Amino acid sequence: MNLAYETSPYIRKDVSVKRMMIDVLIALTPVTVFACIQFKLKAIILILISVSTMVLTEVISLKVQNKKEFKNKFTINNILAPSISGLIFALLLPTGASLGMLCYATFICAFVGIFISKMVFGGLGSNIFNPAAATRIIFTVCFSSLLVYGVGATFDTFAGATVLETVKNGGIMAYKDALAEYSMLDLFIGKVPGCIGEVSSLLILIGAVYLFVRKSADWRPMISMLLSFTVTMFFVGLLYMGLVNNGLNPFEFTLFEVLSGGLLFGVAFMITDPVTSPITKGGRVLYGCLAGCLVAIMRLCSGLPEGVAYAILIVNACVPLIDYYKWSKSKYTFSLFLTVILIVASTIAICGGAVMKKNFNIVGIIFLCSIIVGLALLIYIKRRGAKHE
Amino acid sequence: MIEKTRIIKSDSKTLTRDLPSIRYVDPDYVYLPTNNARCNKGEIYIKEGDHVNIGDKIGKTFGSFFELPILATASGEYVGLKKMFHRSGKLVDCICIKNDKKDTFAPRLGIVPDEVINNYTQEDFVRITQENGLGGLGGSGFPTYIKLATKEKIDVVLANGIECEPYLTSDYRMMIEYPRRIWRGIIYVMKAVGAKRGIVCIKKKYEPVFRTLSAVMKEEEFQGYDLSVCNVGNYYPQGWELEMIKSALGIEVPQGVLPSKYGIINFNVATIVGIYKAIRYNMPVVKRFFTVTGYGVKYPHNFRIRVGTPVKELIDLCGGYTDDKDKVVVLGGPMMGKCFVKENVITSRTSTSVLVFNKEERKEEPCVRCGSCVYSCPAGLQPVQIMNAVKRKDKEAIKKLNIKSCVECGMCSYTCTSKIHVTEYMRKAKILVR
Repeated sequence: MNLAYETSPYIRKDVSVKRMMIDVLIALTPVTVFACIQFKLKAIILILISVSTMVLTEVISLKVQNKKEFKNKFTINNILAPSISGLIFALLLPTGASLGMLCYATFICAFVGIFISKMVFGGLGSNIFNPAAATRIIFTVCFSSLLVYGVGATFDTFAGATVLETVKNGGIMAYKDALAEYSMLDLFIGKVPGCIGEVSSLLILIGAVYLFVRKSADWRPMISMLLSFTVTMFFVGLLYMGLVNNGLNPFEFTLFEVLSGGLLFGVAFMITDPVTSPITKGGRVLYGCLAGCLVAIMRLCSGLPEGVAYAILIVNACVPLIDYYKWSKSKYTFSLFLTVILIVASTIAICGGAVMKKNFNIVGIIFLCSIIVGLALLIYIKRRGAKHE
Repeated sequence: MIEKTRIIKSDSKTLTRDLPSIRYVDPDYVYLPTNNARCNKGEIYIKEGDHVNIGDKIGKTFGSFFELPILATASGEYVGLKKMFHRSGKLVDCICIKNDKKDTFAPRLGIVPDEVINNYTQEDFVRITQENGLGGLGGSGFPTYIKLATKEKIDVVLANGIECEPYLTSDYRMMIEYPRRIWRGIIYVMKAVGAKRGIVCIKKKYEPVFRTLSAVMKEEEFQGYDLSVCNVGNYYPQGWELEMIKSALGIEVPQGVLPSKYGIINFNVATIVGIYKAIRYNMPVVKRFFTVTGYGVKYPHNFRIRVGTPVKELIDLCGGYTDDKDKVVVLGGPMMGKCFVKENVITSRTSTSVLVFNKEERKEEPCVRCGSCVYSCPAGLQPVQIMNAVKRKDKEAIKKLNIKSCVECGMCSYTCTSKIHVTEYMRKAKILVR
């Protein structure tokens, strides 16, 4: 018997990264099962291809990167992490195109995506960008002709444009046309065309609640992303109703925007990825808020029908800035609160202006003034804080 | 998991919590360190072959701004210096006394009558605690007389009986077995600093202690004093003085400011008992409560030991180690204690327990930036950022991230999902910017 040397503390909490990852896989299960029932063989094949490609790419590049230390470095997490990314990527795929083309595209994108966004940066824990989101962007950019959305086998509707594409083409009021075709309940349970995993809001919410209960994901970015998006959409709807067309019901409009597209999927499974998020409470709130506002801007101002993946990639790039040691604080501060409000207010101004076009004058001026006042206040607080130090 | 960890879930206290302490005060040799964590220099007044009595002044240690006498804790023959490991982790020269087991006391020891104590001024209290070499017995070893000599106006005396680390039960047993000594000690401290209130802080789940202390408080000799028992939280590190003051009185003392500025003076309960003995019997800390526990010893137990007893003897008393697997021997608590690889370790006044763990293999995985350490840090630091700054040797960032307020409580390592030893990086950071 020997006395071994250790340094304090000598006990550890019974937690592991493995458990966190398995929890994410479990949370994804309802969505995955629903996708397999809906899209049958196509979904199963795509998921298998995506997951196996990502796992193999990660293991092989780990082997190449650490020739001798491979045995020490390799853990179960090197299989679980890429399978989560692979599963999420597969669930973000549309199924309208032919199976052969889709398989080819999935394989190429999964390989390139995880290699560029994760392995190049140093593998697990070192990646800056969310691998699933990055892979999805590569797919959108390289294979845009394949973005044809199929509809589930169990529902008797035709394939074609998603509800958000309808709104994109027909202007903001077109949400009423979309709602005439699919009811709010259809949107909620997933009876609409869309990507294989993100159509059913109900099952996504179940997964999110599971993650929350198990504390395997942080609720702060989730809630702040959802809230900032909802608030922005609601106020834009309100302004539109008041100034342009009083036929728009802001409550209905907001609910429609929240339930359609990939927002909830992004909120539940992509923004919560700990590796690519900031590490402080306040930073995470800011991160989620930025993501939510960016999604709103992309939906209302850009040429894209939706942009959850883009939004997440852009905020991923902001994380080192949020985490910079000179201003990251481990507790909530008043200036953080003010920053969040400023971001949401400016988003409302930008989106409102873009949606209303002609009637921008009044809204724009009011909001720009309020933003300037807010910024001045923020700078004043910072100055005063610096003096105190 | 991604959450704030406050409570260390563990049933480790049940190993020894309900075991009455065993009196073990007759080791063959007693070892007294000539220097320790706070005092790096010492001198000895006796030579080999001299006979010493309990309470004899046999040496002196010098700290940065104070000096404390070394007092014999056993009677017998001084047989020379011997190198032994001390709680601070250093190999120090120890005065070795061959115990004659007769327990002869130095002439100055003896019961001091109440009338004399009632006439003591603050200077007298300070002088007696200094003469008896009292230091914080919870582990800090901060000299008691300096705390007592405060010039601030003190309102409250807080006794820290929280013992927030898992496994440790020595203060718990002491409060159950000798509750009167604690109240008497608190009353002496109240007299010394002119405080109005005396409060013992214990964990909420320590119901037996609460009942014992409350029952004793109602006895006649304690009437007329504003005494109370305060139940504080069960979490870790509730025993950190700033956390304790916040929970008990609702006052947030900033780090680096002495609590006496806010009218608070706080002692560990063991120190309170030490003060009681010093004032009442003019006696130094000769015996103390000590726990030998952990899943690596056969029969964990509580002891009342003579200060200076070698740890090996106590482990043997507990039936030795459980098996032949590798063990980790820790002096102190599981979160902040000190590990020893040799068996020639001595108990000092500031050591509360010995823990024996079975060696566990832990594999560090890459950090996934889950943020648990940031959420859990009681000092409000960002351990993961400091760790990354240490890896890239960025001294400016380490300073800006306020490493100096780290108390090395061990929470960041404990809560890490990737099993990274974050606390070790905190220590490296402190060394880097020192």
